[in-house]
Amino acid sequence: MIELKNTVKKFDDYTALDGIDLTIEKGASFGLLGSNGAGKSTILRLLSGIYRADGGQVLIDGKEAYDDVSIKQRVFFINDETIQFTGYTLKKLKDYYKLFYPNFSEEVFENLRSKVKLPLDKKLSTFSKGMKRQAIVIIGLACQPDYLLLDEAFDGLDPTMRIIVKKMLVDAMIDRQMTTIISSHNLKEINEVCDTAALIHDGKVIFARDIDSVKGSIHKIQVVFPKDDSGNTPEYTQADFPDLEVLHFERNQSIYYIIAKGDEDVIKAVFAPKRPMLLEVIPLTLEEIFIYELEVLGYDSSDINND
Amino acid sequence: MTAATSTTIDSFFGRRFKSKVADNSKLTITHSVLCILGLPLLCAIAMIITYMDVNKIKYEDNTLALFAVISVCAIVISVLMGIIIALSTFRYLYNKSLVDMNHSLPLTTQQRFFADYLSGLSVYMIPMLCSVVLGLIIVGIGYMVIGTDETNIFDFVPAAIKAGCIVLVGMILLYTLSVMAVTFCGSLFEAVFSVFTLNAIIPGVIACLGIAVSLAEPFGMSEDAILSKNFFLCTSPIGAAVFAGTYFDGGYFSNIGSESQYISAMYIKWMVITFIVIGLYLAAAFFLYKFRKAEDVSKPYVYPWFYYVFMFSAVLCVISLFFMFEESIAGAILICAIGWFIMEVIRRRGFKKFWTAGISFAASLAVAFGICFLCKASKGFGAYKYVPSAGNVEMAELYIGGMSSVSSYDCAFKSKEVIESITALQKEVISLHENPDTIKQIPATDPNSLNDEVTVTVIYHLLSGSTVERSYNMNSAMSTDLVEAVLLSDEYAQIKSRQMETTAYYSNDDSSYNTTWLLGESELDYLKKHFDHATVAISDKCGINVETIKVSQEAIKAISDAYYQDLSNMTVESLENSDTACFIFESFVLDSFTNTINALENAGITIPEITDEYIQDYSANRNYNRTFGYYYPVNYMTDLNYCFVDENYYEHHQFTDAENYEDHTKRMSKSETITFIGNDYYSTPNNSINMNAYTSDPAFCELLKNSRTMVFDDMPLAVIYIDGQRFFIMDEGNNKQLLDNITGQMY
Repeated sequence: MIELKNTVKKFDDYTALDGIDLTIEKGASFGLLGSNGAGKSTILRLLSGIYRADGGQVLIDGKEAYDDVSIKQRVFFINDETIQFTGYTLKKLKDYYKLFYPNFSEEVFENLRSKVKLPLDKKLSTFSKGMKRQAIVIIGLACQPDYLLLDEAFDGLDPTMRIIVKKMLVDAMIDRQMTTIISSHNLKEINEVCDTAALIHDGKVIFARDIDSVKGSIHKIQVVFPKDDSGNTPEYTQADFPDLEVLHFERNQSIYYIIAKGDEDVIKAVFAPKRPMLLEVIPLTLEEIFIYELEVLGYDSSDINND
Repeated sequence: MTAATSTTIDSFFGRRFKSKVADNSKLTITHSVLCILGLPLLCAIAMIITYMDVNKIKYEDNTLALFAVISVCAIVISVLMGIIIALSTFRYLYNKSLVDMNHSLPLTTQQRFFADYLSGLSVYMIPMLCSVVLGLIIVGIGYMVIGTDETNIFDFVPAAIKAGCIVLVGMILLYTLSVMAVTFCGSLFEAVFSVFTLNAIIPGVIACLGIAVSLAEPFGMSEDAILSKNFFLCTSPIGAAVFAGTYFDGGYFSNIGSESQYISAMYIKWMVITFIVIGLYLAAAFFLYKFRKAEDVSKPYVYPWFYYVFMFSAVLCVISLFFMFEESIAGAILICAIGWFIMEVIRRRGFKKFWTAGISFAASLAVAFGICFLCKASKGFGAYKYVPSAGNVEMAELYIGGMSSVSSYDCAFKSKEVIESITALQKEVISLHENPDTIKQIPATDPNSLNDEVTVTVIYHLLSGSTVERSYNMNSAMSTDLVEAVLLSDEYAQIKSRQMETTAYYSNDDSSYNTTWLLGESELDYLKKHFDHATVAISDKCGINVETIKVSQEAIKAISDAYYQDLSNMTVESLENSDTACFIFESFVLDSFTNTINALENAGITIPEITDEYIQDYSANRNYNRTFGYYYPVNYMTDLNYCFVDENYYEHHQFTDAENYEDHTKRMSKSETITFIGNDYYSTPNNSINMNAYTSDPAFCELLKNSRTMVFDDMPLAVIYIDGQRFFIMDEGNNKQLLDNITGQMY
């Protein structure tokens, strides 16, 4: 189990993580969502022992991750760059990591390599970005870590290869109860692979729950209210629904578009006294949740759109 | 369970080591090629030349010279590879894309650092060690093929290995210091800049501060003494190079009787101290490495204060030298300012908050000037007053100037009596310098004391491994106790008898090579093995009429043993009352040295007589000095032409400018006696005018007619010195009157 307890990480004057608390259960497939510079990669680097926390604790199975060999050999981190491997052939890279990861499986490596058909003896500098990414992913999986950390895991992969890599990850998670933490801006993929997700913004955790409950807790509501006695369409504002946790409120002629948190039945109950002519509660995609959650926090594209 | 974990952790160190060595494979190949092109090629060239010479085969010098140049260049580059290997091994400290790959591996910081350090060191040192072995093999095979029996190559192996170890330790120092420099840098430029700067700034600051201290109060101090201090020699690759240079050159140890012990002591101390320094640098590098953060890569200077230490050190070097040598301070500030602000622009990647660069520069200047003023005001922090306690001195190298051509007893002494005499003399001289009013209270033992100057130079080698060098000018009376302690010491007897025997072997016509530095302790044994005879140079009591005689090994042993016995038995009385019988090489033999004289007779050697044939030589460059005369009835003073002593005789004066010259000349005019008259004394400004005046003076001409070309035993009134010839004016006839007349006219 991974635990971040009141973890603080600063880069000079900039606070990247501001006392975050996060728990990731063993065997979970965990997605890290967040805006650029939110602190996702910092969390992954703290977990892989690259960074040392300036405050709080970063625990993996109850032990500090930093400078602990017994922990670090159970964690494999794939960062968002591939330039560091350019001097290696796949074979050399495999041998390099094989030295440090006692669980490294040649069988798994060959099995995965045969799926992606990567050459062993060609330098990685001759590989495309996607091929490099495949190479490091299959090495990471062949190391058979208990915790696989992927930063922008699917970056550079073509659609077919994305499916193959995702399948590899899912297989490893099912076969070995491997905990996977994926940081990505591609929310569709997080949605497909992860069962749990956390949204990070400005070094703070906005939420951390299983994705189904996240998706079930925020809804897009389309509602049309009947005209009043004088024949006018009633003009409601957000303040007229004090029991509703509204993330977004918009009216287009007689139709109201509302993004609100809460259970679908509760939401419906809030609107019921106003006898809506039409009330449609639609679950949001992860991407929409991401956008609306961050909009509330002042991170939105409205200014640019207005321009 | 614990044991299993421990094994795993240990093996991770080995794995990292292995992976880093593999990582540096290209560098290893390059370095190996350079190493093979270096020493082995040089050895091969030497063997080819030897083969050609032995077999009298003509060969093309230029081709071999070209290869020799290539191999020397390869050696230099392969030594400098330490910098490149350090930069490459720790490149993840300044290359951002490599940080994650290295820091995420299952290694502790300690394992990662030391595995990397040792892997780089292996890549650096192993090819070099292999090249040394290969070189020795080539030389060994070469000698077997050539088949010459002139030299047994294996005699050289231990000494060659010893000498090579200096280079190897220097290389470790270079590599470690380079690693340390990389640990506080965040970019490649900074790393390269810091590696070169750190390697230069450490010896630079030590040398500049040493020079500043010696110039602040130059009394007895030597500007270049800092270059022989362990503080300088053991702390940087440049220091190691200086040590290696002096060691190879042999100059550091020349004319030292107890040579082998001395070299061993110096060598071992240098090794021990240098390894301690390397350990400290390594600890500092690890400390910096441990506390730097992975995210610091690409930041300008991970530890910014290192940058300011560098820059301040450079400023301090420039300011201290300009300040102490009294050169243009404005020029110094300008040079510093240009360097400082260029570096600031580079470091800041522009002019961001550039006003702070001005403040830091001003602060650096202020501190540098503060240190210089403090150094000057405190007279070099009182360093000139430092006299080591005799108990802390392991040995003292001693040079007594003006007598070197006779005695050559610039030797290293361990005897407590001698060392105490030296420290006592040093204290006395310093006391006189501190209290000039007491100078006149010194009894004038020599009426001719005006030209009675002796330069005593001592280099203390302290138990701590440090050295202290001092040099003083004084009258010979002051040095009497020291001279007596030296001459009557058993060490002096040992040194001189040993020198005599060794020199006799080196004087053989077929002794064309110098093995001194190579052979250390077995020097004499080596010489005995290679020469079945020795050659003795014996001269008359004036050291002029020299004869060289070939003698057997047994004979030279008997003569040197006898000489040791005579020197050991020598007393103050026998010194005072004996005349010189002869000189063996440059060692005096008194007529009281019966054992030596008998041994010479037994070897069939006759002492040469004084002969008219060499009358010009007897009179040339000769001076008589009562105090030295006490020990040496005839004595040569060859080094006094440029200096003399006045009432401030204890001070070191040289004619460096006209004003100084005139000042001392006036002081001389008050003297009642003269000793030197002539062109040398009056030096260059008025040389010819004075000469003309004197030679046309009838009294002067009469005095010259009365002069003698050589004297024994008696004290002359004066010495007239013309064109390298000395004319001694004795206290006889009307010489005194004539002399008074001349001095009266002169001044």
